[in-house]
Amino acid sequence: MTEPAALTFDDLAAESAVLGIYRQVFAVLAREANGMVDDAASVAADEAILRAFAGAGPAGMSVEQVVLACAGLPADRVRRRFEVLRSYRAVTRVNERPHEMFYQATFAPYVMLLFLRRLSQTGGQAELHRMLSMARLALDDAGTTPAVVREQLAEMTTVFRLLSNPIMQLAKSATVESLQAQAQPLLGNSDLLDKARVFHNAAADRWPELLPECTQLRMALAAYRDSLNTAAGRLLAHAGRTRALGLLPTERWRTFARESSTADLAQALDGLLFDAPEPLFTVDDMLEAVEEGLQADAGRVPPPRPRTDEEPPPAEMDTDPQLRQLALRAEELLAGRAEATVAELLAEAGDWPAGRRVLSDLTAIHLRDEIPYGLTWGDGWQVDPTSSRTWVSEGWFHRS
Amino acid sequence: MNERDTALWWARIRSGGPQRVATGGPTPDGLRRIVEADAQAVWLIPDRPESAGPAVLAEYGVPGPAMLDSKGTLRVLAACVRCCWPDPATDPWPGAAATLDQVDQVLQRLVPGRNAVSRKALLTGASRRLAAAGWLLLEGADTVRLGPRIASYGNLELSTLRELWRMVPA
Repeated sequence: MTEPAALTFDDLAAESAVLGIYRQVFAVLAREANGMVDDAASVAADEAILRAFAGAGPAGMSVEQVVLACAGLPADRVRRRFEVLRSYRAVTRVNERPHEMFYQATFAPYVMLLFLRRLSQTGGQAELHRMLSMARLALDDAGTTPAVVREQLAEMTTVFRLLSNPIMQLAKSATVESLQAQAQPLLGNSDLLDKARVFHNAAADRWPELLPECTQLRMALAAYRDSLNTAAGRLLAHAGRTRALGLLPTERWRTFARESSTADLAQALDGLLFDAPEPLFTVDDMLEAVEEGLQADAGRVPPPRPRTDEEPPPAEMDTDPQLRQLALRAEELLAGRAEATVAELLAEAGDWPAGRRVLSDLTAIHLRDEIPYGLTWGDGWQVDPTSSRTWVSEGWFHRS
Repeated sequence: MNERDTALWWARIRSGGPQRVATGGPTPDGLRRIVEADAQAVWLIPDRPESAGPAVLAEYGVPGPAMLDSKGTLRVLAACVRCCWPDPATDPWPGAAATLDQVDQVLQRLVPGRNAVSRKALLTGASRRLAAAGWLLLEGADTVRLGPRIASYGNLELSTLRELWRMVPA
């Protein structure tokens, strides 16, 4: 058994919901009190056992194999539930003979489990919808007899009576909180009422002799609607007009909002008055804004932008400033001539320190390919022991 | 016109702004009729004393309805006043129609530093906002007129408005 203290409140609520329905349905099946399911863990064990059988294939399983397959559950609980299932013949021997070890499961208990689980989640309304649809379709079938329809009418009457009684009781005498908690799955199904009315009308049209039963169903429907209205009225009165959104499932509200006409939606705002969007502009405000605008002439500096598309980049940026200096120097040295010998240039420079500078300039100019000047050396040799430069190699400086 | 109808008209004006009605109907209490230029329709606007208008909100420091980009919107309104009010010696209502291009020409001087695209966006947005609030009337795609709320300015405010008119370069 699961320790109750280890469960959260929600787990407990969900389990007790499943168990409540389970107990209700199996109350008619269990012969004595100890044969009844009395905790949620047993339901889980049943499910696990049936699932194990489903996975086992046609050969079936022995008790030990089942216990092994339900490894997540205590072995003794699985054994106990297995015995219970066997006693209800939900699990049968593969072959009816003594000492048969292999068992197989029937599908009905598992279907019942699924059904119960869904019933506990939706309050049984989906099943009721299906029953009504099927009854309605059966009416169109030529083979249906009045006796069958009479029986269905009686069943529906009972269902709707049973539905309406607890709601009415809750609406009349329970606290609002318990009404909110319990009545919610039972509320908000005008579809159900519509379907039942269609079924009722069709039955009354086809077999007028069933009118007494139809009247019973009609009265049951009216009672259900009354109890719904009473409960909804009480909930609305409690919640206030705008906060009763929780009464219906969210999807129902969305559908309504999507499919309603403008007039329908506007009805919700009946009696409310909204102010027009009309800000006041005083003339002084306007004057101020205009004055500001006029004064702010060019006060607005455009934000910096990348300079890719605008003005071309400055041409000097990528040229070497030294290059221009060297070109100027070359022109200065040539002084209008097309060509000058190195000896001439050195002689013009005067003493050796100045001549040295001329020589380095010439070399530098020669080495820069970007400017159109060049220095060519020959094999000649000029000697002058009286000068400060006792020898000079033969060379020409010229425009290239 | 009984009390209920009067209340209904006030409610309409409060929720929908100035109301345009056919000529010849009665005037509810406390409302003022202003006639269209062609005299085929009239507008009903509230005729409140100075101390009961929306200006009271500002007096008490209560925030009124906000408008997006109120400075820019005000400049657009000023440009429209300049264009749609041919003679400042007369009343601004009903005024004359002007094209949005003319308004844009004037607006160019009032919003320096904006390029044509952003000025166009300002003009379109602001004229729609002003039209929704009843300060302007948009007629067709590119024609604009002064709205009935301009007529609710009193004498004192009109003199300021005239000063504004002279200040705005045409």
